[in-house]
Amino acid sequence: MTTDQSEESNMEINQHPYADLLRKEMMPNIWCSSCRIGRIKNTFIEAIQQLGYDPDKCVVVSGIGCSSRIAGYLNLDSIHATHGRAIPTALGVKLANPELKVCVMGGDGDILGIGGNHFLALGRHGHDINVFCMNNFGYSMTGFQHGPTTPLGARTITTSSGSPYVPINPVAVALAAGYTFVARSTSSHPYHLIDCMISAMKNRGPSFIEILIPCMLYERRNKIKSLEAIFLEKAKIKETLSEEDINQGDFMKGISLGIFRDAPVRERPRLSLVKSTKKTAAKKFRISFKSRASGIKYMQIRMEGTGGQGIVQGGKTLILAAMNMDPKLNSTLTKRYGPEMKGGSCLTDVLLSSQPVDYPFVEVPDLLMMMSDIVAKERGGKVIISDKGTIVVDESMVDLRLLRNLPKTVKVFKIPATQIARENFRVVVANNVLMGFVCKVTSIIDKNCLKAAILKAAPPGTEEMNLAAFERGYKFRKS
Amino acid sequence: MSDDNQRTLLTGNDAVVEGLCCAAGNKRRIVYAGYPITPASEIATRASVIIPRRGGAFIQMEDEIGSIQAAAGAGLTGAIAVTATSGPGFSLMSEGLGFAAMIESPVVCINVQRGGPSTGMPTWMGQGDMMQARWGTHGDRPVIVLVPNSVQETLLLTYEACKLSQKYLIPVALMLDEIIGHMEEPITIPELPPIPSAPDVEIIGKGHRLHRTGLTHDLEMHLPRINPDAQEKLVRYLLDKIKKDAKKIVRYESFGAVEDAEVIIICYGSESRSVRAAVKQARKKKLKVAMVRLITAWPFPKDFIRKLDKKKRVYLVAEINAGQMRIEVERYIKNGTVQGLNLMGGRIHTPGEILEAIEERMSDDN
Repeated sequence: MTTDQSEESNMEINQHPYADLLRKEMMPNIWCSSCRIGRIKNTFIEAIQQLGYDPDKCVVVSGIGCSSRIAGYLNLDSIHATHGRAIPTALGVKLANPELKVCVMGGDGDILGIGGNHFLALGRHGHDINVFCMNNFGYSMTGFQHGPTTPLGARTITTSSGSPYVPINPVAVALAAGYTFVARSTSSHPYHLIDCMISAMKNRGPSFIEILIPCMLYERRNKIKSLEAIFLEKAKIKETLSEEDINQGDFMKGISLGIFRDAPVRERPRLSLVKSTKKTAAKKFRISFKSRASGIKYMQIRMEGTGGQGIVQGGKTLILAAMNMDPKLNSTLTKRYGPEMKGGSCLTDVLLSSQPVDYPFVEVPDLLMMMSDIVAKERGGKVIISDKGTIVVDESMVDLRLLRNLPKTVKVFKIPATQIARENFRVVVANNVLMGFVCKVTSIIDKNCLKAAILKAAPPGTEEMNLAAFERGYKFRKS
Repeated sequence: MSDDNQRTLLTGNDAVVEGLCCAAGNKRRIVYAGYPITPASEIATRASVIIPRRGGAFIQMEDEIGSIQAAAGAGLTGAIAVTATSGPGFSLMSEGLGFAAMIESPVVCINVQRGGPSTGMPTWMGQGDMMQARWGTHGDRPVIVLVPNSVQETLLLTYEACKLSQKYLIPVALMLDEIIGHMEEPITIPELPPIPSAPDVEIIGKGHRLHRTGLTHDLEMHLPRINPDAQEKLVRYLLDKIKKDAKKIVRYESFGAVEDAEVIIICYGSESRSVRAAVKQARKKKLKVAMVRLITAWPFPKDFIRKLDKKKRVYLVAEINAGQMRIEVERYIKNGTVQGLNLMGGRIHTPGEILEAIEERMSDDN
C-alpha cells in the first residue's frame, strides 16, 4: 500500500455519508439530548440519497419551532420562514420554479395550529409539495404549551390541570383535505419512515406524513418515563389500513402506522386560455372612421341611472368613441355606484379635455344623459346641469317634473329609450338607443366613431343587437 | 397590448398587470399570489388571464398571509413576485413584508387603499395606510413606497417597483387608492427594457445551497447568529441599502413656482389631481401657490422639503386621512407653518374646496 492510497482511503473513512447534505458550521444542533428530530433529519437525507435526487434541486422550507430548525442544518436551499407560513412560502417557490423538489418540515403547532389554513388549502390546491409534520403533542420551544394535538387530559404549562381540549387527528384532516399521499410513522421506526418519505416524494400531488416524536418536556410534565418505549410497544406497522386505523393515532390507545393513501394526482381540466373574440367581431361589421382634431377644450359628460341599465358600459362607449375621434384628446372615466349591482343608483363621469384631466369627477355636466331619475331623487330632486348644457332623458324612466325648473338655456331632448329597447330588442340595450339619439341631437361625437366604440364595449355576441339599437335611437323621431 | 401610437383604455388596476408584464419581458416568470378584496380584486381578475398566458403562475391563496409568504418564496427564485390587496389584507401582510425584507426577497406588494380602519368602506377611497406602509412591521426594515396618481403612472411605477425590489432585494409597496384603481384612462403601453434579475448567488435552485432565515443572521452565509453584534450589523446593513441610495430613489414632482410661493400644498395619489386643478385656478387669480406631489412617499424627499424651509410660508398637507404624511412634513419644516387639509375617506377634495382653503390661508397671512 503506498502512502497516497492510504491517505485517500483515510479520507473516505472520515467523510460521513451525509456530509454533503449537512451544514457543518451549524453544528452542534440546538435539540435536547433525548430529542429525535435529528433522526428525522437523517432519515430525510437518507430518503433523498436513496431516491438519487440532485440536492441542488431540493428545497426545504420550515416555519418556527423545534422541528422547523431542520432547515438550518441541511445543506440544501432552505428557507426558515415565519411561524406557520412554511407551506405558502414553499408553494411560492414551487410555482416559480416547478422543477424544484419542495419539502416542508415543521411541527404540529406550526403546521396544524397557526398554519392550519395553509395546510387545508394545500390539499385543495394539489401542488407537489411534501409536508413532513413532526408531532410532539405541544409547543416545545416555548416551554410546552398545549397545541392542536395535545391529548385530552395531558398536562402542559397552559393546561396545568390537564388539557380539556379534544385533539385533532392530523391524518384524518389530511385525508379530508385531499392530500394525495397520507402516512403516519414515528421517530422510533426510521426504516419505515424512510420508506414513507420515499413514497411521499414520488407522489406527484400534495403529500403528508405525521411523524410522532417524543418530547422530554411532555414526558416530565405527564410523568411518562419514555415515549419512545411507548411508540415501540404500541405502534404497529400495517400493510393495509382500515378506517379504524385512522383514529389509532393516540399513543395511549394504540398507534397504527403505514400509508393511508397513495393516490395518483387528480386529473385536472386542461387550461383553455381565454381568447379574445373582439377582433373577429370588428372584422365582421367593419366600421371605419376618420380621426380628426375635435376642438373640444373641456367637456364634462355624465350618464346616470339605475344599476343594470348599462350605465358603466355607456360611459365606456363614450370615452372609447372620443378616443377614436381624436386620439390626442385627454379623457378619464370614473364610476360611482352603490353596493348593489342591480337596482341601485349608478353614474359614470366622462371628462374630455385638451389638457391632462386633473379632477376626475364631473362637477357640473355639459351633457347629462338621464337613464332614470334615481340619482336625481337621491339628491333631493335636484338636476345638476351647466347653464348652456344639454340633457338627454329617457322619458319612459324619468319623472319629467324634475326638469321643470331648469334655466331656459338648457336644451332638453326626450326619447323613450327603455320602452323602445323593450319593444324591439332587450332592455339591456336601452343605453345604446339613448346613445344613438344623443349622437343625432348633439354633434359632440362622430357617428362612426361611436359605432366602432359600441362594437368594442359590447359583450361578445351582442354586437349586432347593440348596433341596431344605436341605429334605432339615431333615427328616432317624435311621432 | 397595442400599437405604438394607439392608446388603450385601462383602469389603474389593469395597468398594474401591464406594468408587471413590461417588467418581466418575454423570459422572466411572474408569480402572482393574491386573495380577493375590494377594490383590488380586478388586478387578480386580469392577472389570472394574462399571467398564465405568458407562462407565469397565478394562484389565489387561502388568505393574505399566505399570499405575501408565497410571493416571498417566489421572489427568492428570481421570479417577478407580486401580490395585491387593500387595507385589511395589507395589515395581515405586515409580518410577511418584514420577513421578505429579512430574507432579502424581492416582492412587489400593491395596496389599493380604501376607507379604514377595519372593514371601513370597501368601495370608496382612502389614503390611511401611508404610515402603516412605513412602520407596519415589528422591527426596523428598509421601505420603498410608491404612489401613482394616474393610470399611466400606475403602469410605470409598477415597473419601477419591480426594478427597485430586484435591485435592492426588498419588498416594495405600490400604494394606489380606490379612485386610481377603478378610474379608466387611455394610456400607451410602452416598450420598456426587461429589468435585470438578481445575481445567481441570491437565487435558490441554482446550486448555491442558500439558507434564508427570518432569524438574525450573518451577512455572508445567512446562518442564524443570535447576538447583539450580529443584530447591529444585520439591521444596519438592511437599512443602509435604502439609506445610502435614498437620493437616487426619491421622486417627487412640483407644479407652479415653488420658490416664491406663499402657500405650498403637499399631496400624493388621487388627491393630487384635485390639488393641481385648484393650483391652476389659484394661479389664474395671481395667488402665489405651488404644489409638491410625492411620488415616493418613502423614502420621503426630506432634502427637498428642508430646502423649501428657507422661506417662511404655509405648507398645506392635503391627504385623505387624519394627517399621516403631515407628521413627516412637520419634521423638516422649522420656519414655516404646517397645516393639514384632511378628509377621513370616501372622496377627495373638490378643486373648489382646496381653492377655498388656499384663499383662507392667504388672508390669514395679510
